[in-house]
Amino acid sequence: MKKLFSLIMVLLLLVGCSGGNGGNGGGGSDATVRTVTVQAPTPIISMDHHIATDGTSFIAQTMIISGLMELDANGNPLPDMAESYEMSDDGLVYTFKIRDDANWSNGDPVTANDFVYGWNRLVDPDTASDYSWILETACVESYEAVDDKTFKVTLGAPTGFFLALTAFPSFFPMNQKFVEEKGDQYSLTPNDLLFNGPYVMTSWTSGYSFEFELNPNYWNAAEYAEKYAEKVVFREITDTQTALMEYESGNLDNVTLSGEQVDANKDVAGFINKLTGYMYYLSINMGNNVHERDGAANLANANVRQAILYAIDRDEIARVLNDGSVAANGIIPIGLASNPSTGKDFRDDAGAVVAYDVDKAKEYYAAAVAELGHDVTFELLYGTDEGDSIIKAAEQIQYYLEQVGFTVNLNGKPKKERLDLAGNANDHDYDVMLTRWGPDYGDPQTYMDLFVSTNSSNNDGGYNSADYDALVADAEGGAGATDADVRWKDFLAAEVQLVKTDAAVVPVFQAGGAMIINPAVTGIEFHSAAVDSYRHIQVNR
Amino acid sequence: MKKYIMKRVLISIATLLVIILVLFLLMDLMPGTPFNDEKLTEAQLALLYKKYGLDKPLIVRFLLYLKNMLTGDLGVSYAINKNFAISDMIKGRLGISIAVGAMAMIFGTIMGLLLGILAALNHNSWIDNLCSVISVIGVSVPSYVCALLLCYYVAYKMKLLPILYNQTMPFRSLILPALALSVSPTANIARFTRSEMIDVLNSDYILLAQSKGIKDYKMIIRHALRNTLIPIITVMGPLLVNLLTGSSVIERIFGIPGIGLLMISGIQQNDYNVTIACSFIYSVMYIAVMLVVDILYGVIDPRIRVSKEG
Repeated sequence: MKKLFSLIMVLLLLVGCSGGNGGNGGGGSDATVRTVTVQAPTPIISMDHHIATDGTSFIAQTMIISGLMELDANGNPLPDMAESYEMSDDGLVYTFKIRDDANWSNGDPVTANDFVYGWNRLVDPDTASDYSWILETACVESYEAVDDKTFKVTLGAPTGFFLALTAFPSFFPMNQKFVEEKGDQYSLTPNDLLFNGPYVMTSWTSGYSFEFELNPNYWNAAEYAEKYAEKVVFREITDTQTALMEYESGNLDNVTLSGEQVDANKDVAGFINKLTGYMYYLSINMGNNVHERDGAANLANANVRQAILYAIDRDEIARVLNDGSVAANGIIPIGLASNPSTGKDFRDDAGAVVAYDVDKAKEYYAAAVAELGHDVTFELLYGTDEGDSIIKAAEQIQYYLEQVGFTVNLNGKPKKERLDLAGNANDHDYDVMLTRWGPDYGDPQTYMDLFVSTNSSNNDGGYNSADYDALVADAEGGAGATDADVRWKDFLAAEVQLVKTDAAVVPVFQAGGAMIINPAVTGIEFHSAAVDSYRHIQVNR
Repeated sequence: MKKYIMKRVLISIATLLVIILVLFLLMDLMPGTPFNDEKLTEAQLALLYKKYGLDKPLIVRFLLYLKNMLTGDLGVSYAINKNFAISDMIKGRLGISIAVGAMAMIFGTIMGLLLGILAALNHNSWIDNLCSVISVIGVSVPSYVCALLLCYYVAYKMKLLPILYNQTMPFRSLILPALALSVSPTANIARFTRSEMIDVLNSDYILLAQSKGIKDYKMIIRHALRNTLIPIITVMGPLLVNLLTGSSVIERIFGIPGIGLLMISGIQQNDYNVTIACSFIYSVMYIAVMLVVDILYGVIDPRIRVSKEG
C-alpha cells in the first residue's frame, strides 16, 4: 500500500512537471506560421447566419462566408462577392455583378440564385429567424436572379445604408443544394458548413475554441496568402483574470479587460478603449397603468421625467465604470451614422440633448411634488447577469436620483426575467428600467423606430407623441424618403423631441470595451454599428 | 444481496421519473423564455415556440420527452448552442468533467487520508494541530481562491503547468483544476479520518494487536484503516458526485468545456432541455454512487452484508 502511494505521487509529479515550458500552443509562441490566437469572451450560439443573433456567432460567420459587400476598417462597403454594382439614378435599383471566380468550397460557383435562396430562407416563417424583418427595414421590395451572375434588388425608397447592410450575415448567400442536403444538420459542425469567404472553419469545440484557416478557393486567396493571418484561433475564455494571465504569458494576442483591470493596464502597449454601439438608457414607463403601481402614475408627469433627465451625472458614471464607456449625449450613439452631405457624425451634428444640472433637476422635482401632492418613489429594474457595469450603473443612478429627492428602490433581476417583466406578456410590469439597444445597421432609424407609438414590441414605456411619430414617419416614408438631408433633419428633431422635450427615455452611457491587442497584430476592426471584423488580421512577429 | 440491489434499482428508476416530472414543472414555472432577446417581436416568439413545440401543453411535452428519451434523444438546445442535439453537447463535456472530478477525488483521498492518519498517529502534538489547521483552511477557503492562487503562482509565475485547459495536453492542463477542486475533499476526508482513527487506535483490539507484536504500519493498514474507512466512504459518495458533475467556477477560471458551466448557463438562459438533461445526469450519478457506497459497505465490513441478508 505504501509503495503504491509513493508510486502514484512520483508519477503525478513526473507527468505534471515534465517539460514545464508553460507553452500553451497558442499563437503567441508560434513564430513560424502566421497564427493569431484571440479571445472569444462568449461562445458561438449558431453558425447558421439566419439563426444566430450574437456578436461572436456573426464574427465567426463573416470569417467563412462572404456577402455581396464587405466592410473596410472604417465601415465603408467594399466589393466582395459582387465584382461591381450599378445603382439606378433614383437610388431604387441595385444591380450586382457577381464575380466569375467566386466559388463555394465544394467547387460550385457562387450565383445570384444563392442570394435569392438565402434571402428567401431568411424571411421564411419556418426558419423563424430573429432577423426576418431586416429586409423590410432595408426597404427591399423585390430581388431576383437576372442570370447566374446578375442579382437585382429593388428598394421601395432610397436607403443609404443598404449597401453596407449586404455585408451583414443575414444577407449572405446560401448554396441551396448543400443546405437542403444537410437538413437539420446544417451548420452544426465545420463539416456541415460550406465556405465562400476568406477562411474555412477547421474546428469548433463549444466552450473551448473555434479555428479558421485560409480558404484556397476564395476569389482573393492570393492576396490573403501573402498578407493576412494563415490561421486564426478563437479561444473561449470568460474569466477576465486568467485571460489576462494568458495574454501576459504570450499565449493570446488580445484580451478584453474588466473595469478593475483598466487602471493597471492602461499604459501597456496595445491598450485600446473601443466604443461599442450599445446605448444604455432608462426606459420610463408612463403609458401603462395596468398594474396600478405608484411609479407608473407618477412617471406620466412631465416634471418627474425632466427631473430624472437632469439629475444624472453621466460623466461620473462613465468614470466609475472605467471600461471605456462614455457619457451619453443623446439616444443615438457616437459613430452610428454620418450626415449625408457633410459627413459629420450624428452626435456632432446634434450636440448634447441631455445635461447634468442638479439645480434644474431639483426645480423640476419640486414642481412635480407640487403637482402630485407627494414625494416620488419608484423602482429601478435592471439586469443582474448582464455584466458588472450594469449593476454599478444602476447603483450610481439610484444615488444621483436620490440626491434630487426621489426614493429609488433597486430591483435587480436576471435578464430573462427583466425582459419578461418589461414585455407585453406581463403588461410592462416596471417603473423605470435600465436597458440597452445595439444598432442593427448604421442609421438613426435603428433607434428611432423603437419609440414610435405603433411599435408594440419595443416601445415598452408606452411613449405616445404625435409630434415624434410625425417626424419619424416623414423621415422614413414622407419627404425624407427621397431627400436624404430632410431625413437627417427629421431624425435630429425627433431625438430632441424624444429626449429633451418629452424625456421619454433617459440616455445614460454608451458602452465601451477596454482591450489589449498584441502590437504585433493589426487589422482587428471594430464597428460600432456592424459586426466586428477579424478577417483582415495581419501578423508581424 | 441480489434481491436488495434489484429493489434499490427499481426504487431508483421511480425516483428518476419523479425527478424529471418535477424538473419539467419547475422549468415551466421559471419566468421568461429561452429566447431572451430584446429584439424579438411577439410574432417571432410565437414562431419560435411553435418551431420547438413549446406551445404544446405541459403534459404533452412531458410524455413526448419521456418517449424521446427512451430512444436516447434528449432534445435540442434552444439558446446555448441553438439546434444542437443535447446528447452531442453533453457527450464531449461529461468526459472532461469526470476526468477533472476523478483526478480531484484521487488527490483529495490520498492527501486527506495521509493528513488524517498523520494527525491521529501524532494525536495532541504539533503535527496534529498543523493538520487540523490545514483542514480548517481547506474547508473554509472557496475553491476559486485556491484556483486563482495556483494559476498565478504555479502556472503564471513558475510556468510549471498551463494556465488554461488545453486539448492537446489534457492531463497536464487538468492538474491545477483538479488540485483546486481537491482542497475541500482533502480537508473533509482528513477530519473524518483523524477522528475515526483516534477512536479505533484507542480500542481494545488494537491494543491486542500491538501486544502480539504486529508491526506498526501493518497494524495501521490492516486493522485501523479498514475500520476507519466505513464512515469515510459515506462522506466520499456525495463528494464524488459533486466533483464528477463539474464545478462551474473552476471550469470558468480554467476555460474547461465541462458540464458544470453548461448546466449553469442552461438555468440562466432557460435552455430547458439542457437543464433537464444535466440535472438528470446529476441525479443518475448520485443514485448510482449511493448504491455503490451501500454495496461497498458490505465489501469492507462483512458484518453489514450479513445483517442485511438476515
